[in-house]
Amino acid sequence: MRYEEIEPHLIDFLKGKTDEATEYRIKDYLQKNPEFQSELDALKDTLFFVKKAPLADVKPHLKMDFYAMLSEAQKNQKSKKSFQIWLENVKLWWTMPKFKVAFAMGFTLTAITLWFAVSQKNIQKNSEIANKNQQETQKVLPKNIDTKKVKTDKKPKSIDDVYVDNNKTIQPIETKSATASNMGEPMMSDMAMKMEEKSYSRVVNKDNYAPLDTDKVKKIYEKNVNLKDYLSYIKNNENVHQQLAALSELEKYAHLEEVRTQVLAQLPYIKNTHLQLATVDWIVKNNILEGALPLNRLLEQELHPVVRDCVEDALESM
Amino acid sequence: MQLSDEHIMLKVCQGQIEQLGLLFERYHIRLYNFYLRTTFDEDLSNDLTQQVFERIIKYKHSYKENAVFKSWFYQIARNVQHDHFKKLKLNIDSLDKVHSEKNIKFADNDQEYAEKEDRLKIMYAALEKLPHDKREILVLSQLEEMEYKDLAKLFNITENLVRVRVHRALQLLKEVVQKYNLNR
Repeated sequence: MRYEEIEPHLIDFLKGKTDEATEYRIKDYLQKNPEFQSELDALKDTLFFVKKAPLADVKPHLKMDFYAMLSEAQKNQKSKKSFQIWLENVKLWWTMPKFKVAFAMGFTLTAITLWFAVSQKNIQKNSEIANKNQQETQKVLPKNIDTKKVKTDKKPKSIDDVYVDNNKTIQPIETKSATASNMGEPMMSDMAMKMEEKSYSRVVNKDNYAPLDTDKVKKIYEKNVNLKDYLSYIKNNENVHQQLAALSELEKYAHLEEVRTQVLAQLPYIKNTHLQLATVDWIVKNNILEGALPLNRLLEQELHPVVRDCVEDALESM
Repeated sequence: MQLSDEHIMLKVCQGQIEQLGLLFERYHIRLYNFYLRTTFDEDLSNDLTQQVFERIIKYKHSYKENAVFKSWFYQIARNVQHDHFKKLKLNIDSLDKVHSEKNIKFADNDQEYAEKEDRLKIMYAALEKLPHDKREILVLSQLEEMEYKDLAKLFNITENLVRVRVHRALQLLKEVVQKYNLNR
């Protein structure tokens, strides 16, 4: 039996609080080490010395102070709101390491969730913006142009179709086919006649077109302009309505080399989607094979998908 | 039938603060003596005792339902003592030096207290010679009669180690008593 083994039980042994097995072991140790008995006796005396020490009296004001404090605490408790109690609890919890870990984990999870929610919202917002842009683009372009139909029909759409049912502020300009009209004599479209009757009081979509110069358009349809003027309108005019009107009237001069050259020369520089479509339509209608080169040049530009389809179809049909 | 400390403390937690009076009556003398035997300063012991009960009111919600009240109570007492010396930027082991020349004063000077006073003085003189940690564990185990398992929780050590430390503290006290011939 080693001293280290009995050491933890010596005080209990002195008090007579050990179990039989431990008591036997200690007694066995004492038998083998009789010199330890004196040590144990001295320890017992010290223990007695400690135990017999009386308790010192407290000062009377300690009690008074405590009850004053207790009374104050009771008053405070009554007036204390639940929020303050909650705040006290939080402060208390904060002192606990486990709470700190839990708080850190909770905070991290919340941050991740928030980040995820915000990113999802941004994605949704971007998607909405993209949809809106697409809708706006569709609004600008003629609604009745079905890209699938363009592809399957393999026929470029006429400018008439493009403008039918389009934005109500833009009146369609109905053209007459050169073959159907009396050759050599300029023909007025039905719409042009209507426009005359209404004194050309059309309202123009401000976003896409410059204000309509009704006098000039009237002149075009009244055939008060010569061929040079038509060409001039095509080349040097920013008003899409006038350009479209001029292009329409130029159909009867499509057999002329000069007209074809001028129209084809302008094609790659046309930026307006409607005019691009009308010009492509003009080339196809008049079966101008020389149009292949400017059409190819047009394809190199950034085009609206509908225009691109029309140009590709036009090239195929040539 | 007397209510247990734990039961009373639970009532305090539930908002019946006035019940703390019962615990005060049971513990304030022992707590005061615990401080007196570890700090040897009456005024300080008085203040610290007051602070412990203040802290109990403040942190009553930290008491767990199944906890042993005595362990929790003395844990607060130890924390209050540590905080006090931390506030004064003093090491708790320097207590011996701080209070070595301080005489313990007794309120009563009557004859009947003479013997008691004498015995206390001897014991304080002996305890004073012990390092703070040994003094503290000895006071808690033998004078406050805390159980080994509660002390183990309080000091965050094993029960066996508590037994060994108490024994060694007592052994050291024995040597002090023998050396200074205090055991009259």
